[in-house]
Amino acid sequence: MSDERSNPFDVDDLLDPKPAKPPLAKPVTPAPTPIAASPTPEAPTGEAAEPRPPAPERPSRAQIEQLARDTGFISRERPRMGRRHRTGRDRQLNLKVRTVDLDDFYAFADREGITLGEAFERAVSALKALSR
Amino acid sequence: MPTIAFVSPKGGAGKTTSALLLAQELSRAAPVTIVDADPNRPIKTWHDGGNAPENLRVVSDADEETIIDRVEEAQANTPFVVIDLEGTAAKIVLLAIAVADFVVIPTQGSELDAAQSARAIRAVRQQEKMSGRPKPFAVLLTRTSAAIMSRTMQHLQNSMAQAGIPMLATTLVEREAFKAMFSFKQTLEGLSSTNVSGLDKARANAEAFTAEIIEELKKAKARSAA
Repeated sequence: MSDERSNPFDVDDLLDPKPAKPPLAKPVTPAPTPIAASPTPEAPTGEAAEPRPPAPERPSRAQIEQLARDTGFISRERPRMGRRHRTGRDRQLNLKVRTVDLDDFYAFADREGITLGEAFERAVSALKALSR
Repeated sequence: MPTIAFVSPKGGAGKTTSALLLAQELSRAAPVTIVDADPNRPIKTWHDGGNAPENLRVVSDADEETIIDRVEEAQANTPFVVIDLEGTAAKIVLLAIAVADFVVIPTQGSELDAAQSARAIRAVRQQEKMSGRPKPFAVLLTRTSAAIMSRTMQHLQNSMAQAGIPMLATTLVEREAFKAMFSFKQTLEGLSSTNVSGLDKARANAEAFTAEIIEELKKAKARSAA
């Protein structure tokens, strides 16, 4: 069915000047630069003194963050810190409490932007400090 | 080691289809990695069908946090890297543009689509400004009609040309075969003409598109070496 067509594309100029690697055979060492157009394969003759743009550079993460804010390319991912992350908090505590205390507790955690587990930890250490 | 990102803040513009076509065609010449950074992982789903060529591998665990690392790893492993992105104006898109050597902006021939492409173009140009290096890109018209060029399409092409926006001469024609790749999880090569009509034309279309991208990459490389 799949009549193998021969490769019509000449991509040699785009590949690294090294001999072609066997396709995905063994782990290869990273190429010196990830940008295709390596700036100086050989010093070009002639107008060598021509000022060239600096070495391949890409905007920093901070610049991208800024650009994302400026242009409305917003993050679609949930913040990494949810209510479940590695904290060592692996025990369950199920309590009957008064509504007013519960509300205060949630309100505190939300105001501080912390998880309930962390709020509880802080509460415990505050209690410890108090009784000292 | 060219890296080509497919960017469009609008869904359904043909990013995944054109990215997969390019990757498949390129893989006839050299190994290619597709970084599937669309959270729906359409390319991974396609790849899981088990019919991908040996020269084509898929990395599908890229997110905002990891995309730059994933692309750099891919660049170290295969001569070509193709990045497919989600169709939204998401931060990951900007990160992908940052690591790409060439950006393809697929768009359908409507004003709505063009407006979203303009957003993508602005994002590319702003990065050019930031880094002080050219970031070559081109608009790719997708889902065009094989028979006629609609007036809207013509108008769009004219206004892009006037605005100095580079456009690929090849358009991706709306073809059954391009959809069939995903339905049957097959390569364009592996599809059978008994199931899919117009296969030869689809293959020729994909080949022309790829040849043009290769030319653009060569031009970009020559420019930055000059």
